[in-house]
Amino acid sequence: MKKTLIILLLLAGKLSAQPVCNAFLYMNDTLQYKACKLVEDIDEKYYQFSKEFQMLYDSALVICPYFSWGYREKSVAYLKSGDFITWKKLIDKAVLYDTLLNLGYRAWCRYEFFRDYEGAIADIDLLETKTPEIGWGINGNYHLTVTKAICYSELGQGAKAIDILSTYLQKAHPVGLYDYYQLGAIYFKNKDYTRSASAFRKQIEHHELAEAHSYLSLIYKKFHTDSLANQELQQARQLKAEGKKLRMVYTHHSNTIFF
Amino acid sequence: MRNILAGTIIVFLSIAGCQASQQATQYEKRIGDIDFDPKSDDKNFELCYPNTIQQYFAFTSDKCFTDYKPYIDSVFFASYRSIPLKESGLIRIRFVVNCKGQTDRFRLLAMNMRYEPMRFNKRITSQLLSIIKSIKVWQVQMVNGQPVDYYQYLIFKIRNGQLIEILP
Repeated sequence: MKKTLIILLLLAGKLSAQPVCNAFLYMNDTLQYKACKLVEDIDEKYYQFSKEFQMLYDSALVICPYFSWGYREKSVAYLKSGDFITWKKLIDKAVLYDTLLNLGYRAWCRYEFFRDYEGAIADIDLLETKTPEIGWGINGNYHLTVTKAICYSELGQGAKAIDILSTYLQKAHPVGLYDYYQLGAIYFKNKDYTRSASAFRKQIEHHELAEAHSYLSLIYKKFHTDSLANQELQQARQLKAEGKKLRMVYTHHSNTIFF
Repeated sequence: MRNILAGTIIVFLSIAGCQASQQATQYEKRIGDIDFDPKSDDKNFELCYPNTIQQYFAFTSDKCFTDYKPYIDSVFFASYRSIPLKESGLIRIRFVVNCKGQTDRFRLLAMNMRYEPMRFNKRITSQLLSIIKSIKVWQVQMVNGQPVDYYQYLIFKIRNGQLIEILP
């Protein structure tokens, strides 16, 4: 119970990009508490990419060499600049010192920024052995189970991906913004166009996307129903013009269809 | 005795000062900064705001990178010729796009799939560099109605010498 509470406190802090320092005091961990206090307001003072930001975290890590949050925060600018080598060294230390807090995050980054599908799956599998709720990727786009399904699909294991994703969706609450879209795209890759169309229609009901209509257009073409295909394509173009399309800040969604 | 003590303090202070200085110079002003290198960079490449080069993801306009991605993909997948070598990993090329949409200061970083530094065969890296440099005009990005300079990178996923994916 105590451990759960501490994780919740830390995760609560994570949403605001900062751990709650008092959580460390609660654990009688004065070193992490002191390190945490040193960087408590850092996001208001320094840009993540700045030298000052890095150096203040270095000072925090001198106070507490196992301050996992420090390694994780230092890693972010390297991640966003595409420096996979430095990022990995730092995030591995974060995972080493606080596996439960950082393993899912590392998994998501491996998928999102580097399309390291095998690495992401390995991290998610390991996380599943440690907690019943593995959580979502940090940008909130996909639950890590969905991320795992996408990774299997990208590795050419479509049947496994469909099994994971459809099983997840039977009990998912809430369903992610793009989950049915990904299911539809994976069915499409597997040439199961009927189930693919069904998933895209569910996506449109749940959260309408230009890309879902674009895929439906392709499916209707395969069924030689050209007039419906054209209708879907027009609808896709209109939604795209209205900005109702897949969005992601740093990279692009898997299975993005450009039209 | 006083001299020994004073000497010890001076040595200590100079070591401490040296360490502080090393720490201060360990980082660029901002992570990923690319300073002009006369050995590789074009001296005629001009920046509008040399001290505030933005990051590619800083723009919220509709002209985001995702819209440009199909064009980038089409250029690379049409031009890149696979090299039959057992070399796999990621190659990142980071560069500057100036306020006119021109590019320069290309820097290359490569890793194997264990995130270890790796040196790819030049027939792979030179090809990627050559293609990226062949794109003469990139998206011009604006902040408050003014065109700005920004850092962009592309990551190329290579499997056995073949180009598989392009990020971001």
